[in-house]
Amino acid sequence: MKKILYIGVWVLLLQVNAFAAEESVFNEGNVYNTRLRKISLLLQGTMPANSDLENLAMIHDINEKENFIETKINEYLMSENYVAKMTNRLEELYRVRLTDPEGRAFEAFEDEYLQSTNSSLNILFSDLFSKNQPWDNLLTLTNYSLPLSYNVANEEMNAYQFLVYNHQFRDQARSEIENFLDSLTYEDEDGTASIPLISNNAMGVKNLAGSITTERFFSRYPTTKLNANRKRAAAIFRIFLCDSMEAVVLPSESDDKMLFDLSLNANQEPSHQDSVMTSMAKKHGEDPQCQSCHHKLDPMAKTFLGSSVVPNKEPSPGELVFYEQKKDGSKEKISIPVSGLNDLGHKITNQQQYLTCQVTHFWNWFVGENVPLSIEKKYELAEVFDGLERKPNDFIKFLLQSEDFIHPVNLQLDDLRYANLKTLFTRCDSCHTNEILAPVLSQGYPFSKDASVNINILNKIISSTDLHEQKSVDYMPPQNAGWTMSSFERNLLKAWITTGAKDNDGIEIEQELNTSGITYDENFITSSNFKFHDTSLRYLNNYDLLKVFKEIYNSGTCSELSNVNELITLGFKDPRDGKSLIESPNFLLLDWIKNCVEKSISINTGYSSFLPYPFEPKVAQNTEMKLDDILWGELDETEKQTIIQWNTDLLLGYKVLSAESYDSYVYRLLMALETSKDSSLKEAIKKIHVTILTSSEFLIY
Amino acid sequence: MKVPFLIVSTLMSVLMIVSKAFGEIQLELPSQGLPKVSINNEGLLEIELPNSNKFTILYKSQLDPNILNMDAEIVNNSCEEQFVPVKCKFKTNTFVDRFALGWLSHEEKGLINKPFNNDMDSGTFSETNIWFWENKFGAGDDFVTVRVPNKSKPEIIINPELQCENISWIKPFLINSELKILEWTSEINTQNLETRVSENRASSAFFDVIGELKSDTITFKSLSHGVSMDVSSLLLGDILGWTIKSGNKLCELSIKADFNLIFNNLINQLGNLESPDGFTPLKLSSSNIEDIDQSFRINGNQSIIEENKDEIILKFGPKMYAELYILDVLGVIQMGTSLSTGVTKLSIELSQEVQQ
Repeated sequence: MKKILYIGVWVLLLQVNAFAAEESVFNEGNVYNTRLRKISLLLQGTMPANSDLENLAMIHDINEKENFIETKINEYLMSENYVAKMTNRLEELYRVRLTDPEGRAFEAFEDEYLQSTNSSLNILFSDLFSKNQPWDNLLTLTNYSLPLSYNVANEEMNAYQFLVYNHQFRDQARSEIENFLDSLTYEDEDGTASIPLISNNAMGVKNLAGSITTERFFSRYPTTKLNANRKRAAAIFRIFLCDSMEAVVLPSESDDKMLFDLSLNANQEPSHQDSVMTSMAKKHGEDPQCQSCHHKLDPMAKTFLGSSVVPNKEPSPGELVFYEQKKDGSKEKISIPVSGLNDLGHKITNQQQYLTCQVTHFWNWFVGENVPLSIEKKYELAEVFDGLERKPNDFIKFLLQSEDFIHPVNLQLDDLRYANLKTLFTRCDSCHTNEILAPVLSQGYPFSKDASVNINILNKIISSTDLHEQKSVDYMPPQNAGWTMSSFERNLLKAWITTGAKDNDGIEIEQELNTSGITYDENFITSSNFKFHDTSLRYLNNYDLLKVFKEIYNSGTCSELSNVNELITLGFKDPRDGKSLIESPNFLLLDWIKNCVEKSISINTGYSSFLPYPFEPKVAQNTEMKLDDILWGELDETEKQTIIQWNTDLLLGYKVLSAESYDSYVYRLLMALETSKDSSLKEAIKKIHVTILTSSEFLIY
Repeated sequence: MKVPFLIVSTLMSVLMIVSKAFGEIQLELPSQGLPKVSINNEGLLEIELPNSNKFTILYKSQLDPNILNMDAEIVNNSCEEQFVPVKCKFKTNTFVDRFALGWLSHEEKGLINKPFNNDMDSGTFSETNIWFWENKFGAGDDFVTVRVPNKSKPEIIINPELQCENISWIKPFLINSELKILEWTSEINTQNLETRVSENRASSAFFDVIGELKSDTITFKSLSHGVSMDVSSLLLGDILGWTIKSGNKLCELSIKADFNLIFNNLINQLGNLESPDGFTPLKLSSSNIEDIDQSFRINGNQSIIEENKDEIILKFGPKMYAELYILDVLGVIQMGTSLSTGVTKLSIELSQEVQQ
């Protein structure tokens, strides 16, 4: 009971803070300081220096303010934190585990895993950002580097050396590497330098293609004779052409019977494996539903033939088959023969679809996945990206200075678009993955090229989610789904449907939907709907939280993650499917923050940095050791307010809130401490910290 | 994927180290009271304890190679939709040897050429259940045949063979009588380190494996290179995969091999090797066992040896140890119900604590 009450208090606290946030940081305020904080968190995962915020606030000329921000963007783009943050973003995209920027070996990541993150793939990722290399390297690079680590280098050398086992490699690169390995000792494990692995002239480069032929990619997307490299092809389609294809198992009475017989030992011949291989191959070749994906997957998968474990030196021909989305929204099938993996990589980078897909990733990272991105805008951004020689840092800088970033068009009641619903549809899809007849709602819109099918799907959504509020007992999501649609989400869905179920270009469907009688609360738009990942305003999450807390407390006390559940709590994405198990903070995160504060503010950390300087009279008369003897209630209002302001500036950032919001925020904190009159000053400071650090003003950026 | 890589890494580093170390053994003689380690005139490792008792490495060879044959069925050919499975038999033509530490000279004559008791608690040396198989596949241009010579069976170094009921399936792949397998993979079920999902995966691969067809039998002659370069990785798993060129097309063949039989046979035979009789000292200087010679090293300066499941380590003292690295080709160290694979390192550390 006590626990429930405890949880309730925290949930309430989050709600209270979230409500207050709507009127402050998001709608008005010191826009430049707020923007700098957001840019710093987006680029580095850390807060901007308070001195920078103070300097920015001192500047009155708008042009100078913009110049100041540009200087800071340049500075952030050069930082190690930026490289680590972007590497993590790519790791999320590739659905591999995130490399801990500090290399902590906590239980959730065993030693073997830590090795895998210290790989040629990661060096390829980090070089993109630390050296502003062309984005196409992800698909075309053939000159890998290895980390300065005996074990890893030795392992990866095994993975690549056969490609280049010709005399050239043996005489040059190989001897170089072997000398290097000989010179290493185990004490070099933590080294960060890298050595070149394969020269551009080496024999096997015809079958090397950047990230997709690295040991880590092969290990993440393994293959079998049955899978025939389709996992790899699917990952390439998803990452580079924004075409997600999920594996499905089609219902089959004959397969069911065979498995049933096998389970009873009724039929031993042919073996299960043989039958599955034969029947699956037949289905992939004949079943139209399989063919919808396999006619694209299989020709690309062929380029991996002979490269099951590591890239084969001998390229295998295949074909790049995909649908290019044209500017007018239509789709054109494109088929291009490729001679091997390297050729595949190059041919992909030549495609318009690749460009529009890649700018979409940047858009999602920096502007927000929930901010509608029209096809026209995609083409426009692709042109810019191309014009900037596809260099990521230059394009990111462009995006951060664009109107799309500065004034993102998010939720507008009269112009809701498909992108605004994507998060909700993703949750719907999560339960229907294996239902072959269920449309994949989050994969794109319209849901079907056939208009009549599309309208049917929309009407099915209306009825199955009971948007008419007929209180049917079995509407979606069902009780056992593990989630419910929030009031916000129901209103959002209703509003989108009733305003014509617009696509991302703002085009309404032509047919009439069964919307008669659907009503919703028009004020829903003002309530918060922020997620860890995908909105223009998002919650601090994953390693960023750890970094920020480390900066505040100058200690890694909070960063000792011990299990996978904590990763979920902190909003890490699941590398299996790239989704977050929770989308936004819940009481577990708030509890984690509370514990973090408890652990971090201790006699070891000291309290002096959290007290204003020069100390207020009562505090100044006491040494830190005696702070336990001072009661919060003994301080006068000015002293209390000064302490709260000091900590607000310290934790939120100087002038991140507008003057009005700031006053209101401080007042809220004062009120929150009303019940702490008998608490010691130390306890009061902890409470101030917990309240600030669990507030939306802190967590959302 | 990681374990085989680690094994190969270990193997490579071991081979690099030992090739330098052997032949120029500069022993730093132990301080007074510690055993003396040397290779005697007969090429035997000789570890002399302060009381003049000496021990060495013993070995014996036992298994009949026919025991290690297995059924292998070619079940699928991606270039032939109506492919009819073909039953074959895979002959590994490999052997098992056993190594142990045992007395070379002792005041109790009956202990000579007998392995130590396998009892760690008794204070004696542990018997080391190290098995050595002929290594048919290696990183060189030809199959490496590394094994302790068995003078009673000089004919036993034979390459692996695949004998099939019919050979029509192989004809599209032949150039003259030669079959070139572009990639030979084996699949195992293991955890994906990124997703933590257990899944089947091709875990090891050999490239350009050359076979020659004579009558109904393919004899595998050589390979160019591999990842996880030992027969254990090549043959373990439910499904073996071959990628072979047929004209301009690449075809994928799946071979279902029954390893249960081979392992059961092997395990049944282990009893024969457990007997303390029949051991002879391992001669390190014999030209016939050059590869074994190279994998032997004595180092007088190191004190700590890594410990993991692929190594058997006997720790008796801080300053001296001898190491015998053995290519444990089919990984026959039994661990519970599974069989470990890869390089086995036998390390012996010496000290005065040895019961003399």
